[in-house]
Amino acid sequence: MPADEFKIIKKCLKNNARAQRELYGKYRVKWFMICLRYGKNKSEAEDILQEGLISIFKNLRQYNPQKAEFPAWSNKIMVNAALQHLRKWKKLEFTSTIDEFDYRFVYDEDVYETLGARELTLLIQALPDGYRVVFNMYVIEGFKHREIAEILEISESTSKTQLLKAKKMLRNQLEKVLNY
Amino acid sequence: MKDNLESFFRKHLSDESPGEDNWNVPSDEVWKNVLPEIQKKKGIFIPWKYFYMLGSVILAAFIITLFMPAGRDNLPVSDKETVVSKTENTPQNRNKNAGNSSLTRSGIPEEKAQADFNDENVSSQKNPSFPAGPAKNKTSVAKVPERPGSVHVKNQAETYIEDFVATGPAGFVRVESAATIAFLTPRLSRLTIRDTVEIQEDERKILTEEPETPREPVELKGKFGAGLIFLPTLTSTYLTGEMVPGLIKTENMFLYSTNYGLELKYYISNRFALVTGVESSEIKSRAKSMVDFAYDNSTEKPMPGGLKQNTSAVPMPTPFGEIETEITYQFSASDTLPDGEPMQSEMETRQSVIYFSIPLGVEFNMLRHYRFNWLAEGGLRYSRAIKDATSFSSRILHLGNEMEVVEQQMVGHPSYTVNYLGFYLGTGVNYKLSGPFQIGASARYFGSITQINLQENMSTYVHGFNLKLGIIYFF
Repeated sequence: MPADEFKIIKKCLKNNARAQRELYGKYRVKWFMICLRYGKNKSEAEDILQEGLISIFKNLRQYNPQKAEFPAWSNKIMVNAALQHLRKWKKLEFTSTIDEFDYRFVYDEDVYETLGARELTLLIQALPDGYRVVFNMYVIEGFKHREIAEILEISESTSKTQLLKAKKMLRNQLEKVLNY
Repeated sequence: MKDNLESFFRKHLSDESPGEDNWNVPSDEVWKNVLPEIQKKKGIFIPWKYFYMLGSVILAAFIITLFMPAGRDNLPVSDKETVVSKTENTPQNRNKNAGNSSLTRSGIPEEKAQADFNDENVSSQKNPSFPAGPAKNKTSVAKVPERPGSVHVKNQAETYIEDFVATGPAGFVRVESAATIAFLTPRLSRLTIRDTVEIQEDERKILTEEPETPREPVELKGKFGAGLIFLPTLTSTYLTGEMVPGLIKTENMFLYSTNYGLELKYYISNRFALVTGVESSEIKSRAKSMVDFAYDNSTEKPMPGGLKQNTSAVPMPTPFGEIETEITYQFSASDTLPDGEPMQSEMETRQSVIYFSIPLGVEFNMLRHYRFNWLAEGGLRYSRAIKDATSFSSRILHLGNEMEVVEQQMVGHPSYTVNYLGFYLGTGVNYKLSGPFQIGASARYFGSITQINLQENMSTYVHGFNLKLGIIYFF
């Protein structure tokens, strides 16, 4: 961990408002992008961010630099906040039938170069809640299906199904965008 | 060409720079909303229910005191003076009269009155020297109806009896009903001269004796004292909210600790005293936890005797927060544990946190009797942790099999709340000794208002009972 970041965190532990603002400024885009992917829109993402930030600062004392880098630790808390938010405000529905196994996605780098993080985030936001959560956890956060199943209290096969469906939907959306 | 949607998304979403139109930058409102939340001090809230409880106890005490039968000894000094002033027939006045004059109550010289009682049955005699009117005592006495067909002249005995019945021997006003006197007079008028003389002698004895001084409650108002208190205490911690992962059991048992301190007391009135001071208090708890950790084979080292040894850093949740531990354990060299192998640690903690406390409370004397007071007390107590004494024992398990622990140490203390606010309520007695000392004992219930620790969504509170034994020196 960089020395200056360590100092900032130490000041945050002493409830120093300036240090807290500094830490937030440093990671706000990173954290907010997580929230944007899990939320349906910017407003919901801001709610998640708010809850996540409170959780990060209140649990900062539990952070151990020897165990994990701060970004990894804080990202995990932000993802937890997003999941808690979704559980609290929405009923996450997961369907377990697999109607298609066609998830191979072939793309031409040149064509898709026009798509940026913003467009892809919007595509993810357009996914149904269940698809979106599993897609984010598996593809972006790197959880395994077994872990996702445990966290979301679903079966592994449901997790796989949700991922396949999410991918299929995204592929269709991408094709639509490109044809347009 | 790539065929992986996942890597496509991963690659494009890894760009974490602010977008051109700040699409990925949260609005300023977010931080404005978050800042007050994270700056908020932990666990301060107004415990109205405890204030209501305290208020109810004081109110109940007040009502009990108010409606308690107001016996002579219980009356305040000023009230007693009022009663005494209502009658002229005070012991002092009687003494005075007895000394200055030998007149009987009916105004007849005593010698003459004695001579008149030469018959056994005084009621059968007509004696014009006795006045027929009621007693001259100013106390109101009902007029006794004459028996029909008889001319009744009151003799001295009757007059005395009327007087006696009306005033009582101690000189306090006692007004009997007319019916009572009417009932008593015919019977008492048959008293013999000897009886009458005995009564007179008794009265004289009463008059000449020093009146018994009533035991006034000791004056406490304005007294300031300091003293030592000793508090044998039973405390128990209890958890609310969601259990922290890994903390599998806490024992809600009462554990003994000894508290002591210095107490300062100031009586703002005879009934109310403000109490403060400094105390050393202690909270104890016991807990069990089971935590999972990953085996790190980089710290593994071979040991003589066909053994391997490893040291793992195991964070352990406790009611007082997480503590960092390092546990060294050994196992057979033939066992190969891969890096990241799931392991378990089962631990038992015995915690004791010592606090510096400042109580601020009131004492209300519900019942005052001479040197003795029965009191109700209540107040708040601020406590600041000054010393943590945590010890633990651990078992290391791999697939349910226990490994031998050879060394264990705590490398990080729990992150408990340094300051907490508590309350206490109790009742007890105190006794003012003849010198400047007062001794007291009271039984109290106490609890924490703010949590002594907060971990994620789990809060730890404490409550308990203690006995306060103290001695106060009044300046």
